[in-house]
Amino acid sequence: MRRVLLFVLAVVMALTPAAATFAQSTVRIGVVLPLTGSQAAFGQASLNGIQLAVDLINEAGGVQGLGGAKLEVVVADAGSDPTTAASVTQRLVSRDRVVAVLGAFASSLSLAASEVTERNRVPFLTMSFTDILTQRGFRYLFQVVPKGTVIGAAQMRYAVEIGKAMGHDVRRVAIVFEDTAYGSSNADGLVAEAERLGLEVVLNEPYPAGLTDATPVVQKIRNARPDMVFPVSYFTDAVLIIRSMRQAGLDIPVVGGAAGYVIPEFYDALGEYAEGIFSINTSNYDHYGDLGRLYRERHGQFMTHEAFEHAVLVYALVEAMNQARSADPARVSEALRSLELTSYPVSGLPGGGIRFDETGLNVMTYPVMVQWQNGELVTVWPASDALGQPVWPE
Amino acid sequence: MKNAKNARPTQRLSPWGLLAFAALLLPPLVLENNGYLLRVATLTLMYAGLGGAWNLLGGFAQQISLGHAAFFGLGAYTSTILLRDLGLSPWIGMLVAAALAGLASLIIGIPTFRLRGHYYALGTLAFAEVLRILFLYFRSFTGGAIGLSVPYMGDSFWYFQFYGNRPYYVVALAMLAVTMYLTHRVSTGPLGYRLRALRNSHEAAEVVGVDTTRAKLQANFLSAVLAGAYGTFYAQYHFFIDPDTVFGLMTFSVKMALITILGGLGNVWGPLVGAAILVPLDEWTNAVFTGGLAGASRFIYGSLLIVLILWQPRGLLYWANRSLERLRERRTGAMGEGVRP
Amino acid sequence: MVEVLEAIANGVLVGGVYAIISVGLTLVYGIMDIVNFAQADFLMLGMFAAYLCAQFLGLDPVLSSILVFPVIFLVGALVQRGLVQRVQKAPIVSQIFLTVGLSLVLQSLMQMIFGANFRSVTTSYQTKAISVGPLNLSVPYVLAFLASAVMALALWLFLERTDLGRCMRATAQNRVAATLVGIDPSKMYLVAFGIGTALAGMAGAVILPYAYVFPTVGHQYALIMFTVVVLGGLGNVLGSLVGGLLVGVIHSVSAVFLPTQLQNLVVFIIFILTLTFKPTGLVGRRAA
Repeated sequence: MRRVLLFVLAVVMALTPAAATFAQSTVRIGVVLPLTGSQAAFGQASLNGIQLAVDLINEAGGVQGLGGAKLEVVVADAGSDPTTAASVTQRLVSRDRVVAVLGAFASSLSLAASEVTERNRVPFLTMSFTDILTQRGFRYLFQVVPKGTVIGAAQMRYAVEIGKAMGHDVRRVAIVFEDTAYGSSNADGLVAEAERLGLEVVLNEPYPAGLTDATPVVQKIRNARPDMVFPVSYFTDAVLIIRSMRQAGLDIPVVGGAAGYVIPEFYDALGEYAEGIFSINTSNYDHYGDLGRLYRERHGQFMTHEAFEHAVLVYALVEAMNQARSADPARVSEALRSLELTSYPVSGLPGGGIRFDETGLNVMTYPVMVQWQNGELVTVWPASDALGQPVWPE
Repeated sequence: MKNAKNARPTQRLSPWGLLAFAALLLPPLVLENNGYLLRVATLTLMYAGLGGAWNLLGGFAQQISLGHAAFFGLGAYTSTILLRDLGLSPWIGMLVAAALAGLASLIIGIPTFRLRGHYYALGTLAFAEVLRILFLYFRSFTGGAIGLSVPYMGDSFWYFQFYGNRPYYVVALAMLAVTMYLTHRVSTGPLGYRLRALRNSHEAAEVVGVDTTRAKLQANFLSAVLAGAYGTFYAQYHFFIDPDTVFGLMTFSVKMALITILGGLGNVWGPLVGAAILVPLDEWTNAVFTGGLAGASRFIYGSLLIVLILWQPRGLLYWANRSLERLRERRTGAMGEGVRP
Repeated sequence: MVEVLEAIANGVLVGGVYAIISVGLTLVYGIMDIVNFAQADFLMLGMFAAYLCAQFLGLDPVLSSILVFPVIFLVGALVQRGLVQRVQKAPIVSQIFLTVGLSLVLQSLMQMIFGANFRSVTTSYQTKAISVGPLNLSVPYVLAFLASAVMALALWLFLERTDLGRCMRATAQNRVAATLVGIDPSKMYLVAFGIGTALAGMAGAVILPYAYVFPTVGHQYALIMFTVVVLGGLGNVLGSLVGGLLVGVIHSVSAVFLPTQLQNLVVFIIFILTLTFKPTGLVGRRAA
């Protein structure tokens, strides 16, 4: 009986789609994303970005360096469980023989997935940004966006600079953040920068992600009497916090921490109450050009930063394959390490391109400040990237 | 379940069982060292072992714990923090982890063992949540939500780190052997007898002289020790832990229970059968149905869970044993007829 | 001091909603002895239904909750007849297994139909507050609280004053005796599961003005539900109302004195202490 069950196990495993015969004319790219669970909306947007980039590249004749080979995306769902992220990554690497793995949006999933790619010497390209991703001395990890603490620091610094430019002195700041990897690393950057700038942090409050009632958090903000508040949260908490702030009559400037503050649903949920809210971001769609336009045509919504940055991962990978003239993961990794890419659409990133340092971090890019103005997100800071003037919420 | 034959199985290990277990030595020999199948097989063994640990109390006594991730997470963090701060080998860390988890089980046991049925399930669930929140809160010590990355020291037996998958498989198999042997001993020993007695009625068990609290504490202690050791294994295998995962309700607590329930509660082989079905099923639906309509793979996985439990509410081994018995009866019946002329 | 008063007032408002979110779970348990791990997903279904009403009929979610009730009742009744009934007599573990699977199915089904996007409705009052003395109260919370109070009252009238309600209470108290006096338990199970899930769905509609919906939103409410019903005593309708208010107030007041991160810790510690000293919950099972 037991052997029968083991046999069943073997049959089930045999039914798993085996690596199809490797056709000369296709290159497989592995994609690991949270396509179910609470992060699924972000995972889906990321996948949409990848799909758009792949379609455009294939229509334009495929990968030039490989004689016009077409790209094929192999998608795996990591759910919200790092254990799953690691095992599906292993599947992409060893069964589907992908040239590289892209993903996995959420930091904890990327940490788990990159452990597998590193051991198999396959490049892992990501737009996750918790600091420890690039602190593990990995050689096959490539991160196109700045580190979490750098993003948090910029969130604080830009906000103060904007205040100064518009004649508002920001002295007292309140920081509230969800107790996740993303929230904590952003908040570390916020606090360190506030101290460096000599500001008074009147509130530094983590809260459990997935609030059912934001009033206690908002009461703390109100009692701290800050000049400015920096909430770092995903969509659901972002909406609750802003609505509760409006109910409490708090109209101090809000500088969000990307994620929930920079997606179309934020404006859908809040309407005019979203107007004037700032957020830090790793890139913004007013710099995306045609790619952003095509995305909007296809999906009826603006291209979110995670969608664009995942598309950028595809372009970076294709350029590395062009230069390596190979789809061998080791050679592609070699090419990625010395890559310098400033052509469109990668140029849509702040700083205009990609160059990785020895930890795999993109050293050319930096965060930007965006603001909701008339239902659109406008890049307002730093001046070199701004496409609109910041408006001080009154 | 109330089968007299199963009430007190023999102490002796069945040769068929040993043979079946020995067959588990094959996968690392035939499967690719860094391959996907070996990873799934390793995970299957790990979950089978976790189910086995859970089975000690959840199966024999049917005290349904939905908080075993508390012990698992405690184990994962203990060895990882010892490695990080003292450079202590995770093998030693694993012993400390198991001891701490065992200690925690005694602390948790005192308030929860008065609880019955659903109250016990939800009380243990609350304990795992308390630990999750504490590990998120004490950031300077635990790393908080960002989690802990196990420092990579290269291929080293002493540091319980291997480049390939085969050594992990072997370790997982050895741990499973220990777990199953232990459950076998408990099952056939006096503790198993006491646990089964209190399963049906605490009061009746007390009347015949079973100290139910003590029996439950003992079973839960063993169970927690094993779960804690598996926490260390997970940390060393995955190289990354965070509170939401290792103390998670759906990631571990419920999964341990589901695996054991599916295989067969209170059966030494139940968790292995359950894991050998659920873990590959999870991977298989993910592989086949992702890429189409988002959500389809989870939908099919969930539907299959429902179908399986509706088909065999008492677990697959219960069904297998029954079918086997029926088959035997039919065969002996047929033979009896054949002898007559 | 005003701070604490305001926290208490806010806690009571939110707690009233927690109570009505959870009361269905306790009703199902009381009559069927089943803990429905998919209960929070019926809340999600209710939110989706109310969202559709707002989108296509222009109905305010608090009003449309009246429409949501029969819809979710039907879904719940179908689930009871098709699935739950089959494990009615099975061990607890099979019931847990089934409802966990059901939860997964409901979530992924909604994702397949509606996608994973976050959806919310906009109403004129959702960012308004009213002042009562020194207190500042959120209008959507007040509305949700009032709706919850009406639902609680309706449930009480149903259980106390109608024949069906009395039969249900009789089944909850003693199934064998109820069967002997001619009550069909199978019908009671159907009605209990339908009403239990429909109450969660209705509560989902009521909270939609200040919340949002997506397929796995139930996760955020599931732990609250379990805490509330266990604190109040599984199966005790009155208890879950007390438990709901208690959890709301603890959440709210503890955040005044402690880090917000620890608000659930306080709830769980009280939860564990309650179970330690009163293992069947604060109000106990048979008190209602």
